[in-house]
Amino acid sequence: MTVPSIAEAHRAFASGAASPVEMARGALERIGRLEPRLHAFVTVTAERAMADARASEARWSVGAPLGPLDGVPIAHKDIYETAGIGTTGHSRLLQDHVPERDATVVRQWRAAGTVMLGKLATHEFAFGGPSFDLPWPPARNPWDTAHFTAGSSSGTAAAIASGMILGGTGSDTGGSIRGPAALCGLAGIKPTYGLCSRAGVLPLAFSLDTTGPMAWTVEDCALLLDAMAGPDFADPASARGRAPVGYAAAVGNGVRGLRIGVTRDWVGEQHPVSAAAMEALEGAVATFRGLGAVVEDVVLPPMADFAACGFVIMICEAYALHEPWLRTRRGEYGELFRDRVSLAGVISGADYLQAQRKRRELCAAVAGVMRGCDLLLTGAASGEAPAIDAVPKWSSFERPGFTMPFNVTGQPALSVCAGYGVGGLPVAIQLVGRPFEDAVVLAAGHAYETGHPWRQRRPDLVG
Amino acid sequence: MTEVRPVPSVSEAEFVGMLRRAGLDVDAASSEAMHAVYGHLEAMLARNRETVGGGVRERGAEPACVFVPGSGV
Repeated sequence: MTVPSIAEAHRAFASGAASPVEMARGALERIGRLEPRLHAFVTVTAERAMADARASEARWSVGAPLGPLDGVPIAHKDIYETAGIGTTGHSRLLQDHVPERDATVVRQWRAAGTVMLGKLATHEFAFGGPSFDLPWPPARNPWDTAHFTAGSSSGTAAAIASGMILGGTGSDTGGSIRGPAALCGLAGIKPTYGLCSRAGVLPLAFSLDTTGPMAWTVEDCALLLDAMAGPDFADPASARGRAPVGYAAAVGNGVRGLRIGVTRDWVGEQHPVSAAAMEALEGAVATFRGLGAVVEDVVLPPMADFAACGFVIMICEAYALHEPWLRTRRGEYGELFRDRVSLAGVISGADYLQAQRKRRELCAAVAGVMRGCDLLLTGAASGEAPAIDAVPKWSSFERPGFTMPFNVTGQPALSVCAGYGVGGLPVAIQLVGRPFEDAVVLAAGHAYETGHPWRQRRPDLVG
Repeated sequence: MTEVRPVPSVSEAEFVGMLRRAGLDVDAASSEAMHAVYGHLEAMLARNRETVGGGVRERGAEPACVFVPGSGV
């Protein structure tokens, strides 16, 4: 059975060509077949999924669906709290944690009629990985199970690419939505900081954490974002004065007349990329010009500035959260999380604030560049997914990445599949907008995506 | 491409002492691994003390996280 996009599933439900119950059964069959190879799930909630699907089918049968997500199979990263269902953070420390309430986003997606299939693998507390010393194995890349998914929304990416679910939640503190989306060949948007609620989501670093959707297509991300964007008084960082716009309604707006700045100076000496990733970036420049955008080179501050600023803020804030357990329950953490976050034990309060002072300067510098362009076009990852057993322990720390800069600035940033490289593994581009112009980013991503055939191909194991 | 790690300004024993002062009891394997990248962290901290472009920061330059009274906190 072909795996539809969310938009296609909705049309199929509306026409009677498919039913939510039938689709949920198909998803569970696929999970049963593929999960032993992919390890995308921490918990599969089959009974809940079928109950959700039957309720959806009843609504469809009387012509009263709740909207475009009614009946759509989804799952949540296992840092999103789910009432009565374990929420572990993929950590031994929370192995038995069963929340009493749903996270705001979980509640929103349930109210939209989604069918929840379970809780998805992550890196421990959404940081570190791939780890082999945790209670659950790391997720595997469906394009080649010997390869890394990136993280930390690793299970979400693996489950979507393999068709086990049509969409899912991720979180992004330094690239945890965009990295896995890039390496697993999906679309994933880190919305503007504060656009989507983080209430009920296990935190990693307060001033960087962003919740967001991942899906097979950009249009699907827009549909999912419509169901999760908006003010939430339960989240102190929520942008309360901002009403969400209709992201799916705007996804067809195109790029004609937009000015797109391409950060070519970030690739090469600052960040070597694979031939396929370079080809994807240059191909995107040509595509956007062909679609009527004006594309010009822009120069942003060095990637190393963003990396230093973002990494120091991230581990200091994570350390503030985990300090008691790092002192008293140290052995229960996995090695990667424990050692990376413990580095913050030797960082002074002054140095944390120097990073926050640098952040203000970086935000001002990027805002200055954005006065001359509507979007930025950059790489999303350095290339194809590496082998899962060949990821260096300190890789994200020692090598500046393309994603962290926009956690530092809080801008919306989207990873879009941009073809396939060595071994048939996906490569990607990243599109970045001004704060709260997430709709412009999604429209550009959709225009790019629909101009290419990349969505016609799924990993071989999907069958 | 071989990447060269910056050399830490302190010995591993001194580094372990810093961790102990923070209340962290770190085993030998972890302290060795963390000390090996501490020079890189020091380079990051030094970079953060400079402005974008490597200049001297104004004494009164504010951090990004500034408390705003009445913001509902």
